[in-house]
Amino acid sequence: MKMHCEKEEEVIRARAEGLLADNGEPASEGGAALREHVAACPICQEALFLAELFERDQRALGAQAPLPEADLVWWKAQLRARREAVRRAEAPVVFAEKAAWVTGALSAAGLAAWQWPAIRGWLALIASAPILGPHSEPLAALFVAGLVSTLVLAGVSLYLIWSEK
Amino acid sequence: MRAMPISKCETLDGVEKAQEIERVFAMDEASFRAFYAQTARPLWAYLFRASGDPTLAEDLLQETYYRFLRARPDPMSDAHRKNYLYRIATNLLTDHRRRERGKEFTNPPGEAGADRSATIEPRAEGGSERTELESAFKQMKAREREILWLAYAEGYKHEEIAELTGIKAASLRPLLFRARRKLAEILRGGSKA
Repeated sequence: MKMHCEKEEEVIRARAEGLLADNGEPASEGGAALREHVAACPICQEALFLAELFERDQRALGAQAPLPEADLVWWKAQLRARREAVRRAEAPVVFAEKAAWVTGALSAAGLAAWQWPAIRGWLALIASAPILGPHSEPLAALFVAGLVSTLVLAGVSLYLIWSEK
Repeated sequence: MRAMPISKCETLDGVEKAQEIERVFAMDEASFRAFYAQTARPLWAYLFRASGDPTLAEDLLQETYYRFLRARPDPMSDAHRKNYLYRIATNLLTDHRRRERGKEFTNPPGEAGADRSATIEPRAEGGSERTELESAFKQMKAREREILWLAYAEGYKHEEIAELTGIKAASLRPLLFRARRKLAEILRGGSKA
């Protein structure tokens, strides 16, 4: 069976333009020729049948479509565009903040590694305090870690409070 | 998208705001209203028939207009503008389908999509015809529904459909033929192609 008719698109277009009247009467000479063709062409008949069916369906659906108001679509688009603009504007700041945190953490780790002998000396000094008793190096390390954490958390809290303001 | 400083964004008002929107969007509000009034109903019908889901159709409709506004295409005729809109809508349908990979839009009875599609009740006039079409469409593949609707409801030429859907022009004709046969057979009560 033939899969395609060269006139199919022409027939559909002619129907949409009203050249083929719904009652089967041609509206023009060109329409008459096309109508004759359709009468003899099963492919165009099928295409025409679907076009008419879809048009009725489209009209009925359009009438029932739960469409949002144009104003609402416009307003939402505006809002979204503005949010995206803000996000874009903030992106370098967010990136810089993250970079600052990573750099700070790496610097602290590097400093600790570089000054490790001195840190061990301090730990030994703290561990030798009579209050901690003998073999208290792990306890001293824990104390220093706690102190550093407290200082870091205090700094972060202050930063967050400051940035909120 | 063009970045806008936060401070400027927050302080936009009146004429300045309107000018900024005009620069960011493809058209002003009045033109958009006219364009929306002209295109929204057929576009929604396309999205609904292609997806089978009224809620999804509404979401995709809003997304389509947003992307259209943001795309800021070069000045074009109404017909080209409509084509551009349908291309965005078709791409969104394709993206959605990809996200739902492995699943067709056609849902077996009882699944969410099938239930939601029932919320658009066919009215008395042509009601049974619409119910039949709806039921027939559920048996079609998403791509088939798209090309059928574009060809026979929207009246697009084959080359235009190929452009809108990204299907090769040479492949479109046999695809459309098979889809048309299949739908016609289902509507006639015959077996699926």
